[in-house]
Amino acid sequence: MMPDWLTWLLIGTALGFVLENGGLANPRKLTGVFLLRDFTVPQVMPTAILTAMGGMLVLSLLGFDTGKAFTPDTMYLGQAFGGFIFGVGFYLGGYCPGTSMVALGSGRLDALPFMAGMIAAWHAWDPIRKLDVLRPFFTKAPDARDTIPELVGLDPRVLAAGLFALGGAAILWLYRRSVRGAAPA
Amino acid sequence: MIAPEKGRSYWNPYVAGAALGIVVTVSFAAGHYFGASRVFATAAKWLGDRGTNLNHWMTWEVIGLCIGGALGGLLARRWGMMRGFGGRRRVVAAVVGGGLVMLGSRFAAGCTSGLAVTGGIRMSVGAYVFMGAMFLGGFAAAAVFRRLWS
Repeated sequence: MMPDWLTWLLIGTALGFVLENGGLANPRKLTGVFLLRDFTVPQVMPTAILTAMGGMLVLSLLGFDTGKAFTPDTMYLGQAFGGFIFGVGFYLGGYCPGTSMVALGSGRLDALPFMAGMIAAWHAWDPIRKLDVLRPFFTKAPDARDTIPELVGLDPRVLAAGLFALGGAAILWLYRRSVRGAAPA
Repeated sequence: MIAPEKGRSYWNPYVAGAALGIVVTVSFAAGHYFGASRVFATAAKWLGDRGTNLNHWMTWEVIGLCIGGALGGLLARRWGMMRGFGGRRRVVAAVVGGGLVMLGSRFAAGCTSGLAVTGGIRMSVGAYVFMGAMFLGGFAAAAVFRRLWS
């Protein structure tokens, strides 16, 4: 068996390669959606999510216990507030944490001040994160559901299969349209 | 669509998305999810406390992201040092932006990779709350700082 570190180094390399080729190491493309100039992010993200939903269904048919896979907790306040300032930072900084690393590899040195900002902010954050006033941000509501299938009372595999079929058809249609419309580069 | 500054064109975004989804599926099959912000938080902690353990699967994955970015850029002849580097204004915006991204990812306990994409696949409620808020934040910042990327 491959050592663990090598497995994750290779998976990371594959992810970085795909992200760079998709243009997601280019801060102008990453922020383009917020200026309504470039729609790469809202095209890549749903396609990736739907493809992996299909992939997870295949894994569960192959006998993988996909129910045990990581699922984030629902903390409405933290995720809504955190998401908002994350979005502001994403636009100003031009990157998110993962894409800043891909961008650095592709030679973009402006990823370095972005990373310096992240590291500095962690040091500002660490002493205040345990303050009582911040506790509501990280408290999981007792009745909160972690997943949409739980929230609407559907079997997760049925919902994933439905989304994959409908979303996949929509994306196939959009893909064919984008290929027809594109001038050869 | 914004084209690269030089070298070959980017892949069709739907092709890139499908490829990304396949690699993320492989990483689920290998036992973990896709994440990134945690590595930067751990690295920051390590700077203050050298006893912090950096040997974590996600650290290796994030180092891989850098290698993959280099491979992608070099093979398509897009690799370059100062593309789109806007001088002092760009540096200040990058530092401030990086800081807000770190704070946001700590409040939300995740970022675009570990919360939005991974949680999106798991149909997590929090992931979609985060994504919606992230787009709102990005549009609000773009409305105020419209000329930053012009």
